[in-house]
Amino acid sequence: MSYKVPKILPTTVVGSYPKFPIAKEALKKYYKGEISKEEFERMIKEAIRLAVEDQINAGVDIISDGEQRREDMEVYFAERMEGFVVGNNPEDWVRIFDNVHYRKPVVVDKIRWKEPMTLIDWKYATEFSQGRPVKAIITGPYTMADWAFNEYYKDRNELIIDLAKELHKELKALYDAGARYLQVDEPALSTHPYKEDIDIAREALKIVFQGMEDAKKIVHICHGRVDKLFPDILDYPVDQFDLEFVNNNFELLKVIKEYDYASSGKELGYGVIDIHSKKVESKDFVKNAIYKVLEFMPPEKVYVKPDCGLKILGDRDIAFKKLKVMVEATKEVRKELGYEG
Amino acid sequence: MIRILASHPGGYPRPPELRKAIDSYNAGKIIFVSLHRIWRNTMMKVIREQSEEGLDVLTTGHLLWDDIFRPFNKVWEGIEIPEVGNYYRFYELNFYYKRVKVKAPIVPKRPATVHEHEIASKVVPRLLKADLPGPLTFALHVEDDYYNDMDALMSDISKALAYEISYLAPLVDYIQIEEPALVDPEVKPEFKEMGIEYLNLMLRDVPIPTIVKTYFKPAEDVYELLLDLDADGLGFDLTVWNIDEFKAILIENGYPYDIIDLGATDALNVKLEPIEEMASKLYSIIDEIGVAEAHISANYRYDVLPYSYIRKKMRRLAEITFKLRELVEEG
Repeated sequence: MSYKVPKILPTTVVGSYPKFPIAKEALKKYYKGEISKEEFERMIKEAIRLAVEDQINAGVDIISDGEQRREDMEVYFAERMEGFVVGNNPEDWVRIFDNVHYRKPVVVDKIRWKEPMTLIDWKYATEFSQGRPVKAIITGPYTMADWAFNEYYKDRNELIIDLAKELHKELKALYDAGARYLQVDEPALSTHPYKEDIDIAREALKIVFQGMEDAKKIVHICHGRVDKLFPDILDYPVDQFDLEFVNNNFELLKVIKEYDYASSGKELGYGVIDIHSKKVESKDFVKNAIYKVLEFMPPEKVYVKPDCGLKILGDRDIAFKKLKVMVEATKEVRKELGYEG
Repeated sequence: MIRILASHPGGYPRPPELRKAIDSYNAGKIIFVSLHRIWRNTMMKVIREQSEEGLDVLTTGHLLWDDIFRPFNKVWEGIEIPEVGNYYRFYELNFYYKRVKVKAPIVPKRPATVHEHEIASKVVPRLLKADLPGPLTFALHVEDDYYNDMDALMSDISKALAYEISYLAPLVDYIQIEEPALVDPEVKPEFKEMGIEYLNLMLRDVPIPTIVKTYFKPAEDVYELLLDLDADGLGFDLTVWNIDEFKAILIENGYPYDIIDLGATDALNVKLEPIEEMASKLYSIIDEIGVAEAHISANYRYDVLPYSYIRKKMRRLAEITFKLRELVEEG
């Protein structure tokens, strides 16, 4: 089955979707040893089917597997690569706010990719996608390094480059399987918007995406001071920057204008849905947001999407409603622009 | 002879038993008296751990502080804590503080941190340091719905902090003020000047040594401004400041204080610093300046490390300090 992605303003997602109860149950029971590997896979596959179904029902053009298997975007990869230790005991955890702690991985040896970590879920999603393209999404080397302690490497840059080489293998496995929308998540980059950080992230992305010229290469950056990364990131070896706009009250549009983003030739993943608020946006809000960006960008270069992953909403109904509004509003804009009857 | 002390900025990872107790208290499963008993025992434990690993200047660990601003929300009139949300990243850390709202004039009703220092002062086997946020850093991390004027806001914050210090000074050996905002390049210079002015008002009558600790950025651009501080010592983050450049600044501008706090070890990573190399670098610094005391410290608070690593990190800091003492004695 094939699916025709609209030529202008295609809709997409950043990646994660609220976890379905079956995914939560599968993760809990599997780690307690209460279910077999086969049963675990069956339950995760079902959760992915549900996540895909929601995206299709909402009308999203380019979808994801909903990251139903991933505990979080850092630990998931760290636990599956050699060189990391992720403590399971309470004394190994690190405070993130108040009395909430998280498992911060420690790099204790040379980083090595062992086997595909995300391929099976991408395949499950593709099986259910009714021809819609499924984004392949991994956490980027800069963020993996920034969100871990480093006990082994001489310096951080050495760690980032090694991570890039190993994560390249992950992306290559997805690319070889047919994934052509390849997204690398680098949220940590916006917290260190300095030249040396921007430079090392560029070098790392070159390595990660090497040899995948015919794929859509996307980097997702959110939270923090994304504006400060411009214009230095405009020469990154990617086809699309996937950015948040609602969370900064569309202030980032000033940067898009100031640095003439459109002339870079790159596409823009344009966040129009707030992932921190459970209030569902109105169609008018989304339409206005789209028209705002069209003042600076051609519609064929704009991908309409939520600011970030929807997992944080924690509520599948709200996530679905938000996606539905996003798609309906986008369709109306396409029609008003005369591209869709 | 220079006195060289192993110190740390403050903060400490919450040991698991305290974390569990806090969760239980928040869930209504235990009463405050039980939480208090566990907290007290845990504080005794972390004081003992600091001492056992060889630190000379100890802190209470600030174990019940949710962030550096929140021991004060319950005891200062005029500020409110939002029930939900309002979490913001603290500088570039993967740690979030809750931004308090200023709704009326800030007036302290009672001291916030005296109780923990009273207990600690009775058991601490070495020197005890109290640590507070500075008025500039504090003012830049609140949501001000009342003053709408940085000068007035900082003035009242510094008065409230001075009140706190007046209770702490009899109990401790040092007062340390955390002022990362002074070296933040994004903070307006006029705010930094104001910050120094209010720090000086806060610290002028303090009868014990005071240290103003900076971190996360080198202080090279504001070093001359920092020299206007009427403190007994300044603290610098040497994990982000090239040591040769740091020395050059000290030589060029002088260092007119009795105490220097060198944030030499990295509290943001579990990796252990090489003893000889680090001691040698530190020796080259103190060899250039005529201070009475050098506090060898971590660059930042210890509360963003895992509890399982904290003893190793403190031991390494003490080993570096010990080696440095040897180098100084050898001349």
